Amino acid sequence: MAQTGQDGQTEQHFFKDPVQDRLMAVCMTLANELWVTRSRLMTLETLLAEKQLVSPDELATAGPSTDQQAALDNFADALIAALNDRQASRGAEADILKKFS
Amino acid sequence: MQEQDFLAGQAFLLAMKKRWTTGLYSQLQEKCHLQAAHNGQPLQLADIRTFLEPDPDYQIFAWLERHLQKMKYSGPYGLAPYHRERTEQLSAQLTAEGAAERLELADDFEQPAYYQAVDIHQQPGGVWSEAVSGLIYERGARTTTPMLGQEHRDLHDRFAELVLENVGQLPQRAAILDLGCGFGKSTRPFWELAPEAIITGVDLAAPCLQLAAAEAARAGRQNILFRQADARDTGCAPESQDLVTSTMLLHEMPGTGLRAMLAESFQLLKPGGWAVHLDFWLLRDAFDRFIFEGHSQRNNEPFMRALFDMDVKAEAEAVGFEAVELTAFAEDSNIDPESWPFWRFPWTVFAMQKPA
Repeated sequence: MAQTGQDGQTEQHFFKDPVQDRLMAVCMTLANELWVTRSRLMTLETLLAEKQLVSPDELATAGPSTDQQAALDNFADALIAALNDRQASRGAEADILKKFS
Repeated sequence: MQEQDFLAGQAFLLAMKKRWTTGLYSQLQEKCHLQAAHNGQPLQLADIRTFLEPDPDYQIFAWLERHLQKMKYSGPYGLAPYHRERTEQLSAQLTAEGAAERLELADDFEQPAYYQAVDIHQQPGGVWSEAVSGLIYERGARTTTPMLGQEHRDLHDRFAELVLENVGQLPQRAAILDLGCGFGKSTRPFWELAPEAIITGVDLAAPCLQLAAAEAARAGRQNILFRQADARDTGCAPESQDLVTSTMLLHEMPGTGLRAMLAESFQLLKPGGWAVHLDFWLLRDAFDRFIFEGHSQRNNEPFMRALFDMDVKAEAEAVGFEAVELTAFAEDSNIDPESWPFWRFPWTVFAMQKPA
């Protein structure tokens, strides 16, 4: 709601390139989410240990299963793919208008 | 939003703010000291602007000040969405047995244009426009001074003690007026320290006044009224008050409003009565000025900057006050207002007396 102000005001900028302001906002929002997720995870692990469903040693030594590892690998692939600067669909070549005029 | 996620999300922001308050602020202060030493003379405001504004450390400092506050109120775990989701449930806090007798809201109250022109502190909708605005403001105010943490209320206790110790003997049933009382945080120490006093709190924001009245009712405090009124036109009778006070009000109104408020408080004080305000004004040096001019812009408090430009002593004397004194205020016993290594408000006590 308040992202742009009630009158559609743009946000204040502090860096030379306003894109940096926006990237900072993304980073901080992700960090906030990570803090919340880690807090939940800590709570969950504490409760599991307290109820003797899982021991701290098991939590420390357990690794992902084959399927879980594959899911993590897919996540890593998706991250790299997002950085590869390639179009995901066929785009128009620069000379397309000339070619089909 | 789940309660635990809200608490964790806010804890993250507070953790970041504490590091901003100490580490990042101190880094900038040290840079300016080194630059002044290099130049062989203190930096002037224009020098600091030229020196710091292109500096990446300052840009990150400024960005964080703006955006940590934005996230605190409007982020995914912000105070506004949290309270709005729970409006019906939380509104119960705004009522209590006996609250109605302690509350006087005006029908068709029109908020001043300056008050509506900006969402103060980046609280979306300001502190007045929705049922839960007072609750949002109260929750947000708990971390306004992050280095004090849970001791935040002590700041108000210390101020009330200072005022009551320094204004001389008040009548047992003294009339005390708290201007811009908000949700009653500044009023409470006065009712605790002067239990026989007849206290009036005025504010523009109905949702804040409702919270203040409910809290006073729950505490069983008699002889107290929270009234919706403008500090420039309180509705109090001339020469009816022994003491007029405010906390963090002066910087939230334009200069014309401040002058009108001083004139109003002068005319409603009894002869010999005192007005004592707590606000931000005494700045140590150009670095402080630069930091708080920036804060004024970044925290949606545009009139703070204008207050720094005002000669408040002269303004008070112009309406008739005498013995006008501005002194630095320590919000905690461990703080020396002349020397501190972390970000803090330039707390200042403005004391003035109506001639007897």
